[in-house]
Amino acid sequence: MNFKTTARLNGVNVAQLLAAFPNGGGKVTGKMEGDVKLAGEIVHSLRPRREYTEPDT
Amino acid sequence: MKNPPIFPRGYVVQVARIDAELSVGALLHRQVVIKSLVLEDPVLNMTSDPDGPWNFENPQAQASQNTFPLGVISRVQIKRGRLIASNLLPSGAAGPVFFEAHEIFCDLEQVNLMRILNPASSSTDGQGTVKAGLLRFGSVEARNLESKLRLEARHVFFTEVKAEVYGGSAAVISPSTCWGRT
Repeated sequence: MNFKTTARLNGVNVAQLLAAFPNGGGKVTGKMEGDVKLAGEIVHSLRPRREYTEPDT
Repeated sequence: MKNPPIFPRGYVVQVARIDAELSVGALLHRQVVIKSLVLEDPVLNMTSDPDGPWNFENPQAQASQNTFPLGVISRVQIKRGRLIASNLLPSGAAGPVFFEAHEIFCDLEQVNLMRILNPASSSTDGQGTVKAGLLRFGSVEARNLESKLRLEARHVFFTEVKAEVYGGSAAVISPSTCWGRT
């Protein structure tokens, strides 16, 4: 499945946004504004949860 | 509607209640014409096989002369819908959910279900509005999405999209598209 979009963001709480990512919380705070272009393909991974379940080697 | 055999046991679509308005005039001519549909509490489970089709695609299906042809439905409403998208793992087991939408309310006009399911379709197969209370892209959330949408040639075009994102707002400033494999 493919997707393409351009979105305008206003007043996004960066701390809340980054907290949604593993190890992403607490590094940046503030409000975010800007235009974001997103395009790509939702690809398949042989081990989609590896980064969440296995330590780095 | 159950998954095709290559997918894990489960359903592509489950609907708690369907109200259909039929054309009486067509029934008198021994034809079934659906004028409008209301789907309450539907759940759409979209599953993608890495090496093949989505579970809602069935390229081997042949149009049967025994099933009545579904023409264009003037209005289709979805109330409190849920959409869940996931991949199959190489083992064939269900993989993690990568997208989900909850509390979906959709109002579509001129919907052609047969063309939506047909990989060769190249026309507009419905258009209308959609609202969703909660969207999750993996661990990223958006709330209270509102958008216009158009189904055309195996693509879904979203316009005038707006949503709440982590205390702020997001508005799409160019038409957005989502499409399957080509």
